[in-house]
Amino acid sequence: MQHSLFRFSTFLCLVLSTACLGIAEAAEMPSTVPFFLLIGILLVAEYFNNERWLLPIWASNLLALAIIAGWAVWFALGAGGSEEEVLAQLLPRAGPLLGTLLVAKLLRPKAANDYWMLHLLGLVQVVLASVLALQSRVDRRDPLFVLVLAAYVFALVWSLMHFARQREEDGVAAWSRTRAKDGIASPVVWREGGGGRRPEILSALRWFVFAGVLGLLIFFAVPRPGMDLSATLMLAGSPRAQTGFSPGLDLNETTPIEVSEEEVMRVEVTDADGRRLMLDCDGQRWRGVTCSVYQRGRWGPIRAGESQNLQSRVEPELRGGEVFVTFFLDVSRIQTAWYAGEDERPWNLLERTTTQPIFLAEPVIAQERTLPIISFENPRDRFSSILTYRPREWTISVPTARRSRRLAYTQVFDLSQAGHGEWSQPTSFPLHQPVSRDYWDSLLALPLPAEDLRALTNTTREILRAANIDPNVDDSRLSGQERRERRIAIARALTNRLNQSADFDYTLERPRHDMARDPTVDFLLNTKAGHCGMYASALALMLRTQKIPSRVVIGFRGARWYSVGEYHSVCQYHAHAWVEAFIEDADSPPIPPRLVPNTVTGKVPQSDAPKPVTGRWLTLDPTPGGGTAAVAGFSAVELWRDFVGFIRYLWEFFILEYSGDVQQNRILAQIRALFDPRELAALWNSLTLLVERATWIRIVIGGLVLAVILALGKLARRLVKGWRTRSRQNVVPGFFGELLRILGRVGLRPEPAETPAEFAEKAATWLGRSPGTASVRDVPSLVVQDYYAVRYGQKELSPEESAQLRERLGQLRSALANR
Amino acid sequence: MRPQANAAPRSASARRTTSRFRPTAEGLIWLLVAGLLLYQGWLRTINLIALLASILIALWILNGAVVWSYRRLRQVIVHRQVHEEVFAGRPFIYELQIENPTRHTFRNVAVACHDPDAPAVGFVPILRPRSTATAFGEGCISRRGYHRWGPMELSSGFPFGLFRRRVQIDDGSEVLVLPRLGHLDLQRFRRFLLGRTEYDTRNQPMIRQPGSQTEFHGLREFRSGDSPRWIHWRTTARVGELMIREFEEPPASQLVLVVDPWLPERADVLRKNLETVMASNRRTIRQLLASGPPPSPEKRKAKEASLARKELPYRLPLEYLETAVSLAATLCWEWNRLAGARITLVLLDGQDPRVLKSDGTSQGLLQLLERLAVIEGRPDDSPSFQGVEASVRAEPLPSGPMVVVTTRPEPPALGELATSGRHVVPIRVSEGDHAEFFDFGHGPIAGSVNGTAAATAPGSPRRGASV
Repeated sequence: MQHSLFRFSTFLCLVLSTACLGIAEAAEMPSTVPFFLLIGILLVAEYFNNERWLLPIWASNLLALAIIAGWAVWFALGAGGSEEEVLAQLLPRAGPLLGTLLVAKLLRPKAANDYWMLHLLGLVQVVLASVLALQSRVDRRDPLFVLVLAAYVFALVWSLMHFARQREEDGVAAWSRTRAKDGIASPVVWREGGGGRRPEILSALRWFVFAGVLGLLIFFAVPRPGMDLSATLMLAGSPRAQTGFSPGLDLNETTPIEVSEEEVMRVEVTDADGRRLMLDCDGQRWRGVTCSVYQRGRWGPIRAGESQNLQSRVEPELRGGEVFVTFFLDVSRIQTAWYAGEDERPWNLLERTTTQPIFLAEPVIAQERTLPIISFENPRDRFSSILTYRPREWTISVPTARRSRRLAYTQVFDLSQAGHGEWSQPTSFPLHQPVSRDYWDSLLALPLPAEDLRALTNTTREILRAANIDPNVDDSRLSGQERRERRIAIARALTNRLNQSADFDYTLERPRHDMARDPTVDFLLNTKAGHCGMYASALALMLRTQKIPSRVVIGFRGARWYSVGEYHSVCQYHAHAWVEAFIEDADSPPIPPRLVPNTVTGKVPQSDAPKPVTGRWLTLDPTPGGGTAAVAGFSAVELWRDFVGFIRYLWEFFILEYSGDVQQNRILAQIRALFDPRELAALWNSLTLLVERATWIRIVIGGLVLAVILALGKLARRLVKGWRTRSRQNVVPGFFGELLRILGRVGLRPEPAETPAEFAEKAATWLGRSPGTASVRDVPSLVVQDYYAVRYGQKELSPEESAQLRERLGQLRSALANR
Repeated sequence: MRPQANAAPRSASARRTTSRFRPTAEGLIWLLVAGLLLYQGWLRTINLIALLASILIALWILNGAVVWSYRRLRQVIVHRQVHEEVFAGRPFIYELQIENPTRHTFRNVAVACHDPDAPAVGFVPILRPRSTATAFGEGCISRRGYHRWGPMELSSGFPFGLFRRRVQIDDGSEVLVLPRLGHLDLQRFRRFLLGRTEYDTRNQPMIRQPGSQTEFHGLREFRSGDSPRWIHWRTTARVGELMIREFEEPPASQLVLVVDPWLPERADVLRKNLETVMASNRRTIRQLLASGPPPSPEKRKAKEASLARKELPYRLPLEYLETAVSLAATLCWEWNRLAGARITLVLLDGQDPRVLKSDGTSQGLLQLLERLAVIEGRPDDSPSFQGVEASVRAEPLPSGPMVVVTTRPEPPALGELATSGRHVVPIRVSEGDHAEFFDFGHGPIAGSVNGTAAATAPGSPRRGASV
C-alpha cells in the first residue's frame, strides 16, 4: 500500500522534470508546447487515477515500442538537411519521446525497480533540458527554468526519502505475505518510539540545502579544463534583429529591432587599494569598432589599416588616478561577421574572420602600458592573447577563441580623464604615407548618388544657416584658428540639430519612406526617426559634406551598477553608435589634394612630402536622449533589482560560466587571499566601504525584509502545524470521520479528552433536544459502536452494514440541514 | 500475570554485535549515473549538468555519512520478553523492545529477528534518543528446554537508501520452553485409572465451584471471571442484576505421577546418531535420484521406508521420551486445573531423583512443568530411588493412585515406593498404553497457566482464575 505522500512526491518530481524539459523545448521548438501540456495533464490524471486503471506489462511494453516507432517516423519525416543538421534536430525532438515514454511507464504495474526507472527517466529529461537550455540560453534568460530545475531537485530529494521508507515498509509487507502462507508470524508493529510520521517537506528541505551546499563544493572543486560544447551545439537559425553590438551598421534593414537584455560583459573597476569603484553609469562609453567606410547604406571599418601586434604583458603598477578596469566579456554574444554584400555572402568587416573586437573604456589612452592584458578562460586559447592594435582607430581585436566563451582582460584607466572624454589625444595623419592617406580620404568619402548627395548637402546647409553659420565660407581662406573654431561650431550645430530638435524621434522601428533613396538621406529628409546608428550615420555624412573628416564608432554606452556585487553590467541594449569628427589644430597645415596618377603614364607625380595633419578627434553623440543606461540608485526597487541582478550574476558567473580560469584565478585566489595579509587588508577595506555605503534606507529595508522573512517563517510553521493537526484528525475511519464532519458543521466537536462514546452520548443529547433531529439521535452511538468494532475489534463491516450506516448518516445530514 | 519468569537468560552470555556498512546496489548505480553525468558535464563544459551531477553525488555522500554515523546502532539494546508460558509447538506472543540508550536519533530502522522459531520483521520509523520502541512478535518453538533467541538485525539506509548499515545483535538471552501439551481426555483417563485400581474417593471434601457441570448448589451474584454461560437469566430478570448458578464439584483426588525417562543411550548420542543416519539417508536418496531415471512412486516409497527403518533405533527412544514428558506435562496441567486436586511428581531423572508437589496454584504447576522441560533421558537400567526414598521419608507421598509414565518396555521395579499399599498404574508409552486417553498431537488446549488467555476446548466452561 503506497503512502499518499510518496505518490505525491514522486509525481511532483516527474511533473517538474517534464516541465523543465517543456520550458527548454519551448525555446527550441515552440510547436511542442501543447504536447508537453498534454503530457502534464496526463501525469496529473495518472496521479488521480491512483493505479486503478493499469495496462498489463506486455501491453505497456508494446505501447512503448509503438511510441518509439512513431517517434522514429516523426523524426524521419521532419528532419532533413545535412548530417549535422539532422543531429542538431535530434536533441529537441527527443524531448517528446521521453515525455511519452514516461507516461507509458506510469501506466504499468510498478515495483520498486519501476520507480527507479521512472526517476531515471525524469533525470534524463532534466539532462536533456539542460542541454537544450544551454543552446537556447533559456538557462540565462528565463528564471522560470532555473526555478523549476531547483524545484525538481528538491522534489527528487523529497521523493527519494519517501521512496526509501516505502521500500522498507514494502519489504516488511512482502515478508509478512510470505510468512502468512506458512500460517505463522506477522510483522511486528511498533506502538512506541516516537511515532512514524512521514518525511516532511521541512526535513526534505534541510537535506536539499545540505545537498546543494555540498554539491556546489564538489562542482567548484572539480578541475575544469574542457571543450566548450556551447559553440558546437549552437543551432543555426535566422538571426533576429535585436539591440546589440555589431561591427558594422546596415541601415537598409527595415525590420524592427527587439530589445535584448542579455548581458555582454561585466566590468569591475578596482583602485590600487583593491576597492571597487563605480564609473559614470550614464555617460561612460565602451569603445568597440570604428567604421570609416560608408557604402550603399552600410558602415564598416576600413579594411586596410595600420595595425600592430602586441603580446600580453605583465600587469603594470598603477599611477596616481589610475585604476584597473577588468572586463569579463562573453565573446559568444559579440557578433563578428556581418552580412554586407549585395549577394548576402558573409563579409567580415574586420581584418580577419578569426578576430573579434574587444571593448575599452573611453577615453583610450594610446600608451602601451594602458592597453589591456588578455586572458581566456580556457588555457588552450592562450595563443589568442596576441592583440591586434589599430592605433589610428584606438581599437583592439583579438583572435577568436575556439574553446572559451569568456574573455577576461584588464585595462589601465585614468580615472581623471573619465569626465573629459570629448576630445581625444592629439593625433596626426602623415598624408605622404599611402595607408594614412587612404584612411584620410575614407574619412571624407561620400559615395552617394548625385541626387542624394545634393539633398544631403542642402539639408546640411539649411541646418547651418539655422544655426547662424554661413555654409558658403571657404575654409582655405581662413586662418588655422578660425578654421578650427568654425569646424567645431559646425559639428556642434549639426549635433544639436539632431539630438535636440523636436523633428527627430528615437525609435527602434527602422521606418523607411522612400526606398529608392539612400537610407541616411531618407532619414534626414523624410522619416526623421531612427536608432542611434541612423543618427550617427547622418551626422557623419553631414560633417563630410562640410569637408570635416568623420567616422562612426560602435560600442556601448552606459552600464548598470550592481551595488551588491559592486560591478558594472553592460547589456545588449547598451549598444550604441556615435561619431568622431577630426578637428585640425590651429597650426596644422592645410590638407593638400590627393595626387592623381598620370592617365598616360600611370605614375604618380613626385612632389615634396607634405607635413602631417595634426588635430584631435571630437566625440559627438547625435542621438536624442544620449545614452540608455540607468543610473544606480538606492530605492527599494533598485535594491531589489540589485539583489536579483546579483543572484543572476552568481548564477551565470559561478555556475553557467564556471571555468578553469574562474576556478584558478578567482576562487583559488580567494582561498589564497585568506592567508595573505595584504588581501585581508583589502577585504577589510572593502567591508569598511560597504558599511560606509550602507545608508539608513538600506538598513530600514533590510530590517523590513528580515521582519517579513521571520513573519513568513512563523506563518509557515503555523500552517504546517495546522496541517499536521488536520492530518491527525483525518485518520479516523470513514464513517466516524464523516460523522465528525457532519456534526462539526453545526459546531459539535469532540473535546480533546473526550472518547468517541462520550462524544456520541453528548451528541445524542444535543440531537434529542430538537424535534427535527430527535429521530436521528441514535446515529452517533451506532457509528461509534461500529467505529470501535472496526478500529479495536478488527471487525470488517459487511456491505449491508455499511449501506445501512451510510443511509443513517444521510438521514442525520438531512435532519441537520433542515433544522 | 507472571512477569517473564522464563524469559531471563539461563546464564549470562557475552553480548556479541557485528556491524556492516556498504552501499546498496541502487547506491552503486546512482553513483555510476552521477559520475557519468559529471564526466559529460565536465568534458563538454555543460555546467548545469555538472552541477546536477554534483548534487547527486552530494546526496550519495550525505547518505553515506548518515548511514556511517549509524554505527551507534551497536549500542542499541534489544529485549525480548514473553509474558506467558511458552510451550513447545504452540504459538506464543513475545514483546520486542528496542532501547536506544544513545543521544542520537535513528530513523527508518528495519528490524529482523533471525530466529527460525520466532522470526520477525518490522520497521521502526524513528527511534528517538533514550527511548524505547516496543512491538509484539509471534513465534512457535518446537523443542522443549532452553531456547536461545536468534540474533536481531537492525538495519537502516536513512534517508535515501543508497547505503545500508546492518548491525547484528546477539544478546545470548534464552527462554525456557515448556513441554508440549497434548490432549488428555480426563474422563477416559479416570476410567483408565478405575480400570486399573480401586479409586478411593472417601473422606474427600466437597468443593463448591461455580460453573462446574455437577450438582446444582445455589445462586449467587455474578463476579468478574464467571462464565456467562451459567447466568440464571430468570432470576437475573427478577432481581435486576446478574445472578449465576453454583454447582458442587465432586471430590478432587490426589495423584502421584512418577516419570521414568529411560533411554537406551544418552540423549545427545542418540540425537547425533540419528542425524548421522538421516544425513546418510539423504545422501543415498540423492545419489539414487542422480544415478538414473526417476523411480516409480511405489519404488521410491519402498526405498524411503527401508531407509527410515534405519533411523528407528535412534528416533523411537527419543520420541518415546518426548511422548512421556508431554504426557506427564499434560497430566500435570489437566490435573492441576481440577478444583482441589493435587499432584505429586516423582522424577527418576539420573543422579538426582526428586519429589515435587503441586499446591494447586499456577506457581506450583509451573515448577513441575519447568522441571519436566529440562528432563534429559538416562541410559541406566536400574534406577536409583535413594533420593526419592529420602524425600518420601521426610515427607510421605499423599494418598492416591501412583501413575508411572515410563519409556521402558517394562515398568521399573519401584521398590519401597510401591510397597506402601498404594495402587500403581504403569503407563508404557513404548507400548502405547496412553493411546486411549492421550493424544500427543496438536491438542486443543490453549491458554495460559494463570488463566489470562483464551478459553480452553470448545464448549467447556472456563474454570476461572483459581487454576
